[in-house]
Amino acid sequence: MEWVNAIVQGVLLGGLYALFAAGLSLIFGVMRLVNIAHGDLIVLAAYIALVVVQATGLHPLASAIIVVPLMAAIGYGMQRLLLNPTIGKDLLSPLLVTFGISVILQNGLLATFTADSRRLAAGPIETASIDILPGLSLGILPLIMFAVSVLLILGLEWIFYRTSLGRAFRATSDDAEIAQLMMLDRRHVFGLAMALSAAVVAIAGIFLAIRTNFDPSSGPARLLFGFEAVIIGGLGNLWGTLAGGIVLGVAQAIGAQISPGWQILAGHLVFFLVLALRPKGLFPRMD
Amino acid sequence: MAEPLLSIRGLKAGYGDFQALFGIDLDLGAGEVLALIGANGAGKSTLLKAIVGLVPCGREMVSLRGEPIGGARPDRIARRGIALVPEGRRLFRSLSVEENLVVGGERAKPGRWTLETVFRLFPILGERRKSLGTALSGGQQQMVAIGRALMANPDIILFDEISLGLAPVVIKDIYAALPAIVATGVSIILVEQDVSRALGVARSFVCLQEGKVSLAGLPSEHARAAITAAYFGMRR
Amino acid sequence: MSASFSIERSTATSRIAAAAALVVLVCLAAAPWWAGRANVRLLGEIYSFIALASLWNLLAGYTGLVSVGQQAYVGFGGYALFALAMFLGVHPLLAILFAGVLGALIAIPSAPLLFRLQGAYFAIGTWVLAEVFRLGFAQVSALGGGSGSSLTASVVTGIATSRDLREILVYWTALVLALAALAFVILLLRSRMGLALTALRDSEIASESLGIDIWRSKLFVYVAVAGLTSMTGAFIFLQKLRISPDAAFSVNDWTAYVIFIAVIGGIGTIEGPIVGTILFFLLREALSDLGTAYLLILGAVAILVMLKAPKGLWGILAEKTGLSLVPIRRRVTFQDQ
Repeated sequence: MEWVNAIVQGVLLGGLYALFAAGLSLIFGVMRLVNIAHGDLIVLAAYIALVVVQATGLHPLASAIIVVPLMAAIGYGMQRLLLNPTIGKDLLSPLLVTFGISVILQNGLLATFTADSRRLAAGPIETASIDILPGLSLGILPLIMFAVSVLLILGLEWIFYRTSLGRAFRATSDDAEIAQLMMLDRRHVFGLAMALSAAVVAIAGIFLAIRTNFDPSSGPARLLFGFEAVIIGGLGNLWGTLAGGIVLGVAQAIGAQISPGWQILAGHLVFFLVLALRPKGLFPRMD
Repeated sequence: MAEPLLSIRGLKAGYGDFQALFGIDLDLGAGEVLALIGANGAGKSTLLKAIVGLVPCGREMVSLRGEPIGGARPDRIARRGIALVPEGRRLFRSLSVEENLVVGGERAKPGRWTLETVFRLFPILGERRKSLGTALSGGQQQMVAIGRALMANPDIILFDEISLGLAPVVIKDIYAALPAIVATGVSIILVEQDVSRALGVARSFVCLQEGKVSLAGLPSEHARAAITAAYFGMRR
Repeated sequence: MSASFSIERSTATSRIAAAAALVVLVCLAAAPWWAGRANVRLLGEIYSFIALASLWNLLAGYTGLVSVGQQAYVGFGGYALFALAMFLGVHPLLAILFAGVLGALIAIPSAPLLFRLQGAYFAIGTWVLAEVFRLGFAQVSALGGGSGSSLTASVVTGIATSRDLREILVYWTALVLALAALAFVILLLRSRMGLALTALRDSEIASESLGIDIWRSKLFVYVAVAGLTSMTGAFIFLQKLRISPDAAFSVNDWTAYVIFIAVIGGIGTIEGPIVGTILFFLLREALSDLGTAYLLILGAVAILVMLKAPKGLWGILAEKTGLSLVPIRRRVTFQDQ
């Protein structure tokens, strides 16, 4: 039962990893940009949530009404100001600019909030759980987070495939030059893509802050988890990304059962295993 | 004479260090169909790309209704009513036929062209509206590209290599649709390898050779031999 | 009128530069006799960063393999040195060489996996690899596990019994490493493969027509760079005498700084990493008291350079003056007869 429990926890954790991955996958899909600062943005959102909760007394989950629009605005500004000037030239420039942003975010947070690790208290809901089987109980909070993650991915799918904005994203991704002739200003389209990614990041950051301790250097690990979920699941497929997150979460949970030092390592090894055996991911997009 | 709809004066343009156009003059009147002819590498595509803003050029070099628009952002120029049917179709490959059409029109001013009227012009597209654009035959893809341009309800449509790489029977279908488009009063610049076919549709023509205008006017004004000479750059 | 022409790679400037470099080199080699102990150590550190930055620059600036995970090989080299010297009794300086061979060997299976990642995802993949190494070495209790270990006194005295001689040998090792890395980069870029890779960077079609197998060339460069990076890592931790997983596989120390150096010096130039390293150490000596603000400044400067002067300091200088101290290109000179 101990193992079943670990696996179930891993599945629930996978939802959060899918959320880390969704924002990363979205901007790669639209503009082939890999944002190295993605994890640091998640941590930035966590700190913003912390400040909002302290200042307003809102429940951490309710802080989203402030954190989400704020992060979206930060994402839009970052794209227009720092990333758009580098897009389309080569691979190197945008990548290195996001690397610079990552260094700035980490040290900016360190200077503002110190290296002490923090956590958002979510109140009695943290300990609430339901018993599924004898010896197997599910926390209400992890369940809510998992459900929200699935809903968000559903929402992103809907935006991507059913709305005018999604068509603009896909058209720009397919052929950025011709998309401009469809009256699309690509700098704005890219800005919106980053804003949407940052909005998802905001939710991920709030969840991270409630679920675990975090400090200014927590970002890179979140970037790697999100990235691994994307690759395990297969590029360009958000449901695959959810599955990838779950595979990663379960791998980590099983690793942790073996030895605490093996938790993260097991996830990385499964990632390399998938890369070796199924380079296109477990659920590649059907074209 | 009334002011031309589109007026090009002394247009110079190119790619980086490579200059492709050396001072082009050209006028396009409202409702006019103009054939732009010339050998490969004469600069026809570059001229169309400069008009829609995909290749940079000086502000005063291109005017629309007397207003300079040269070198403006492509999305701004598109908003002013110029559409391009690009060489090689260049459909959005992850969009369905219907989505390709919708994306062409959803930010434009409403007009006579809608999904229904495009599907009436090209019925096959209505049947295959849910297919991916790239799953279609070359001719059908060209219809989508034309429909996508029409959906913007533009005043000017630029056709780049409208029949390149298409089977003769398909070319006939595409050309059969042109009169219906011309009848709506839209102005057209037609880039076409098949000179006689182009001159059959156009009222006037411009021939480019090595980035310069080598001959221009009405097809009836010039002997066929003179046009051929201008096309190939032969001295007479 | 007929014209004869000759094809030359060297220019007058490059010949003067070569002569000047030789003088500088002799002075640097003699540093233990004219510089203080601390300065000699600092020079050794500078050489290791010149090597790391030149190698990263070869990967990212010429081969298009943008890695943010080179700390994998720095740390691996360091641990290999510790293991070889402490468990097998290999002479530490010889162990540096073996560490390079081992680093290259471990890169051979890693590279094909990482190359499967599309475009910029390759960069993050290299980081995951570095994390695997970090977490893996933290599990090895013989090497001190998570808290790391120190080189035993017997290993240290094994380099040379007198302290002065030991320090001179270690210092010269660093100088030779930096020179070897630079020589490798220059020779590779002048080779047929190097020309093909530069062509690939500039135009994909051009290099395909050169008929060079790009995948194999990339593999060769990745593996060779991994080996040399491992050797540099082995040296770094021989000088530090202490290793731990967090220090060995630090993304800040071995990748962020190195990228900063290459960016401000000039990515895609030979001279850039050298200029960048000197600038970086000047900045560090001047600003390191600022703590986190110092890193904020580094990040901001790097972004600013990427946006406003992507060719870096040396790129600007070379463009303005046409200067090229280490010529890669051949020039054609016509002489009218």
